[in-house]
Amino acid sequence: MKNNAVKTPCLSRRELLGGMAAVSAAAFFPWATRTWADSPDATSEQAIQDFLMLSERLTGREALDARIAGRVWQALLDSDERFADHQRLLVQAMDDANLTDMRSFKAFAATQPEALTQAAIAIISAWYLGFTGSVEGHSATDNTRFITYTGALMFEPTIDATVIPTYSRGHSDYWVDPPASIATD
Amino acid sequence: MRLPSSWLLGVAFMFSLASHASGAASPSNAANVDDELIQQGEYLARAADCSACHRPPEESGQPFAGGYVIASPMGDIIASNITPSREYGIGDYSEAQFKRALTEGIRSDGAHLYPAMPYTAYSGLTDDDIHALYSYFMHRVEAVDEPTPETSLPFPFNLRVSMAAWNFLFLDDAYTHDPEQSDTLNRGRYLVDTLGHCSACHTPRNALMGENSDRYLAGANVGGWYAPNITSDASGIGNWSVEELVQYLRTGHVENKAQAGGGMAEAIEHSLRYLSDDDLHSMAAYLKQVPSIATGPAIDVSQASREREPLSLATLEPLRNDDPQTMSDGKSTDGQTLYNGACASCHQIDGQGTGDQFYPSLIHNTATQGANADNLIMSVLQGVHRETNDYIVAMPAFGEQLNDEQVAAVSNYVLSQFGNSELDVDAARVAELRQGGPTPLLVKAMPWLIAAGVIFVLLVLGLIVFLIRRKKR
Repeated sequence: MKNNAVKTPCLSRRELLGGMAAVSAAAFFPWATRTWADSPDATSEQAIQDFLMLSERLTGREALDARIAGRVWQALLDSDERFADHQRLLVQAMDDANLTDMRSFKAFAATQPEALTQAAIAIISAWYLGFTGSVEGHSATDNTRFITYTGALMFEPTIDATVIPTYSRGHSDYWVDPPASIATD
Repeated sequence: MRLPSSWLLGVAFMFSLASHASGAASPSNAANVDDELIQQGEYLARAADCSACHRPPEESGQPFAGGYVIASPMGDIIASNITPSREYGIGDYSEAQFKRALTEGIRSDGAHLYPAMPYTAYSGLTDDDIHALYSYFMHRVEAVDEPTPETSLPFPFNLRVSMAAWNFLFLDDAYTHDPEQSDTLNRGRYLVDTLGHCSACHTPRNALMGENSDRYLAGANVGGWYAPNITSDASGIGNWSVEELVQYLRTGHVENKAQAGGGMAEAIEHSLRYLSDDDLHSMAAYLKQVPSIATGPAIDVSQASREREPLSLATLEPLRNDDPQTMSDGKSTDGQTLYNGACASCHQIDGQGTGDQFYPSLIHNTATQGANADNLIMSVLQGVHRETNDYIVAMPAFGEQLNDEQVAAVSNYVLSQFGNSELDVDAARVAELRQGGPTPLLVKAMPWLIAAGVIFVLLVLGLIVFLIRRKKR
């Protein structure tokens, strides 16, 4: 991707954040000292654009939000220091295999190293779930990173009939009436 | 001799039976007539919104029992019992006394009513309507034999007799039928001015708290809420159709335009929703031709912010500190955090409201697009409660959960992202509205006026003493 001059500050920043996260988990530092941004300061537009294009290929979408893409990218970089390399290799492999239809992804994945498949799934999962990392049920803190709530792609397929939790769909007690589309579902 | 007399008695008895028989028939006739009259009176009582004020303090109480506290800038005025209770209500009122109370603001004992009772508007009531109202209150309303606390305002407002001077200044212009105008406009004016007493809230008041007739229906502050300009100007209801006005009067809701809160919601709940379609159309027709008074730029919320670029999800859902400690902090004055926590679940994260607009858009909305943010602040502080014929609207009040800074912050977020971004709300304004709005000049100046009066009396006394002593020398 970018040359080392750009990459190095990214890495040191990641190390700093990672270190702080580890320390804060031990409750020595409050997380309040951590500053959040949609994408890293030292990231070029092009890097986000590349990631956005990959995301659109993997999710089969025409237009995903570029700023949300910046968030996903940053979160994945922060969680896996080899992510940038994996991303580059993944794009290369998909181009080589001429993978355009995600329905053939399973066959494609069988021919690829596990790490690349995992990178692809991490990207898809972040867009669908609206967060990265894994939720730990009984812990006050875990390694999850917020991406988007209402924009999570998992809500889309049923949005005509179900509601994004905590948001009202219509007038009070609207839920007593079955959704109009139920007969055709 | 005896026979004839007994015969006479018998005849007399027969007659008396006959008269009893006809007497038995006539009350049932009378009852039919009365029933119609009583129903008319009930309708008029609704149109005049008597129950909005003369209600008991608790929801479950008897209608018209009184005791409800009306907060006025002069102090608390306690609504009286207007049930036909002889001891505590108006049971002993003759129709003439009833009329005097309604149209002149004078009770049966001769004492003056405070103009919180809109007798300045009711002074235009026709005698027929007063008769119907009297019949309704005396025969259909259940007597409630319970006292209400006496209103006691601070000096000098406790001098009820001072209302005589006030009435001399402001009790005039009773409604009269204008033969030049159509029946619809005459009926509309009677409903708006006399029964509905709309100007009591929508016309600003002068220094002595009388309605400023030069600014008739041009909008005014009422207990923190802003009763908007309802003249035919574009800054008023000039851009509303008659049908939209009718719908608003009946339900307090016109999609992508406005919703009623505060006193207007009460007027709809207790009064306007019961009016006939014809009457609502008459009111709308009359309002549409009220001489226009401009109070700011034209409000056209259907156009407002259509051009506005939709906000990116990344802007609406900012990354923020989500450690447990920060998340549980209730002191945040970040408007967006407060909005997403308190408002977004109904009004949606992008302020568009629900698809059916039951929870209305904050973008196409006079409360956020007008030249005044008071109603936005008040609906956050007090919530909205409005019962219509078909549904109940209930927005929770956040006044106890959010402090003044937080209410200002969330209002400013709504204004900057969804509404008139030129408005700015500060905590001082929130505090003022929380207390029921700005204090009128008359109340603010009263300590000084009283002091001036005392000084004047002392000067006069001093002068008298001086004169007497000089005479003695």
